[in-house]
Amino acid sequence: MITTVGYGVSESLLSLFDGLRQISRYSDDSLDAPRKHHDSDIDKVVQHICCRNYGFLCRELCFLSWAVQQACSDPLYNEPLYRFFWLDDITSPAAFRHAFAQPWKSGDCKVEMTDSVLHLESGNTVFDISPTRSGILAVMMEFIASINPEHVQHLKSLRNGNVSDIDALAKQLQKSLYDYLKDHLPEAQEHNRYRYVADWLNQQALTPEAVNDAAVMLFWQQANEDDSANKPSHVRFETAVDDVLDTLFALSVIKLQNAARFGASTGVTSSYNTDNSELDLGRIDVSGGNEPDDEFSPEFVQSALFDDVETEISLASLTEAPKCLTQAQAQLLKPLVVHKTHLARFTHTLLRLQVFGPWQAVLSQAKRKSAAAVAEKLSALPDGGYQAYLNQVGDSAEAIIQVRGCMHHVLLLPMPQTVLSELITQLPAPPETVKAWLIEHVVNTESSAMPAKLEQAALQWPALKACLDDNARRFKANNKAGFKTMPHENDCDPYYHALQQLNKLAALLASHTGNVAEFLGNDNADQIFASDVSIFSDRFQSMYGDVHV
Amino acid sequence: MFNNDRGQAQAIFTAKRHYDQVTQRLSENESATPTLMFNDLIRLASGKAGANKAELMKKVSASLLLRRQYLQLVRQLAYEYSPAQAAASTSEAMPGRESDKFAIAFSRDPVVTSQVYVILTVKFPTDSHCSEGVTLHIESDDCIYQVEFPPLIDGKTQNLFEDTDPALKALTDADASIVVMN
Repeated sequence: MITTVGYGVSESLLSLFDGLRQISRYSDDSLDAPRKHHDSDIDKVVQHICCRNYGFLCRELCFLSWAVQQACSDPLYNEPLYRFFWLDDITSPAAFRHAFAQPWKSGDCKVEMTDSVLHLESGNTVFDISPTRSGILAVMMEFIASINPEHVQHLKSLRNGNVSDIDALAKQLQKSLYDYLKDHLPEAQEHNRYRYVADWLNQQALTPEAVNDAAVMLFWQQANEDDSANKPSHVRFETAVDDVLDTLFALSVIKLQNAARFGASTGVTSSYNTDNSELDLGRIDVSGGNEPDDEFSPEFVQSALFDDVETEISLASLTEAPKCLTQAQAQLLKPLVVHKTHLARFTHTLLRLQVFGPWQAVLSQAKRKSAAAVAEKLSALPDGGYQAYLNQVGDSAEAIIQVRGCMHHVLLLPMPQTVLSELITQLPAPPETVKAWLIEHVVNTESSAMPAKLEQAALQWPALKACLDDNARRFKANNKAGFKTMPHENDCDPYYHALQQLNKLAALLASHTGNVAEFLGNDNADQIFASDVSIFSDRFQSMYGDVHV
Repeated sequence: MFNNDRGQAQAIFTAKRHYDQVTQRLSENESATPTLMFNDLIRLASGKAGANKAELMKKVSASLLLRRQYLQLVRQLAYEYSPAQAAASTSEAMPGRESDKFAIAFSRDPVVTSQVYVILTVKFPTDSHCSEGVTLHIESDDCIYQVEFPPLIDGKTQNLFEDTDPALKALTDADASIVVMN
């Protein structure tokens, strides 16, 4: 059943992406088997889908399917497409290169693996696919096959096809995805939310740059009191914060893009500083107006949103094997990850969201039970105030340190350079002689000789030894999924990806903790909290209190 | 120009909201029953579904569309497909089935009479038949059964079924279609 509860993505589509994350490799049907697709590849496809920028991906997949059926064989089933994508699980560049090791040529058609790309020729058309695209294309194949398995049969029909068949099928796939997303990724509701915030900013004569914590609070209060028909709901403080911050994010991205375009078109970076003209660069009009007539491309949206942005942190994947975070920790960190670009500017808003958001959720639940339950929950203020929240974040940061230690232990032998380079920045600087020894003996050592070399390194550098011992102890004490036994060297990719995300998360938490500590100052925490309690209590009383029960 | 910016900002807002929603989904309950993926169908058809086999088969059997897609896949990966037999009358209680590539015969256990041996002969076995065993898919009365036999020895393998086993009933059903997998 298609539902659009929440912000618009249907349960079916969410469940499809969940399914993608849970697929294990074909060769291993155990419950703890490594996942077939990397989260980074899945997230990349999610980006293409959410930005509706999947035209090229469809075409690339059609060309790959054609090439697989020409150049790859399947002696058992004579189904090269099934073998490539599902029986052999070709999702990595190395496996991709191996699968196309044998070149193929027939008439004016050719499939050949060069040093850098898979080179395809059919008639006058040339198409190249980089092996690094193998993961994304495998995810895309699974995605469209799971939406409708008939698509796979269509791709199989390319076995005897030519370029025009490939192009026709690419268009057909694109249309089919477009039709699917019309039902599962509806935009209207989101457009409505965006317009509501943009109109409000305009009414308040607020430029995006002038929006601050007080404005967010005012927006929530006024949006709550607004009883216009068809307005988006802003009952929850969290919803109001999400709407305002996401609107500001979208506006700031456009502004940056326009500034970059202006800079590129004039070829100057400093001349416009003299007359303040930069203030007008990319000025965003939030003043109502009609629907834009100009078409904007999905490529632009995707590039504006995701290009030059560091890898996203996927909290959902960090709660699965290897399990780095508990659900509660991930839930706590979610708003910080979603609004990571606003951590410093909206410290107070995020603090309010983190402390009073859960209180509102409890009240909302209690309202469904009874007036007494609401009264009881209204009198139970969030425990410990802002200081308690800071402690909670500190606990999560500590948990991340522990699990990073486990990751270092797991990856030490398979990826010694990665681990040592991280440890070197964490530990007190080693003596120069040790540094030189490490460069000479560890960096270029073969993996079989690595344990002995590391042992020697640890003997020369006691801090390293203590750290490695600590990490080994942490791993031994960690009984969560993915840490019960040492994974095989070939299964370490998920650990590496998780470590990268943990590092980003640790930096994000450190920044947030610093911002909050600075905002609260030495003695102000209780005073600020008491003032906010008063604001939220009054509001919640009027929203959930007796009169409404 | 400004209107275009507004449209672009709106598109970015929408895409970010959708992206956040898909990637930040955390509730365990919500992901408890993920959609059946094409990968699951391939695993099931090729006999590699492992511990999830019963659950996946239940999902496939429950949907006409999935059943059709699954059987299409099974036939594509098949060693031999034996459609429903002509309704010839026979005096045998459990008539066997034979094609150019395989044969199925039944033999009741002389000691435990409630048990029946199903003897499968594969005439041109593949390496996988001899090393990993043979998987049969049977479609009978709108139900799908998957039966696994041990690896072949001298082209033959057998499996023991209780009289009441629905898979045995399906195997003996002349109206059932049987697919021997590669």
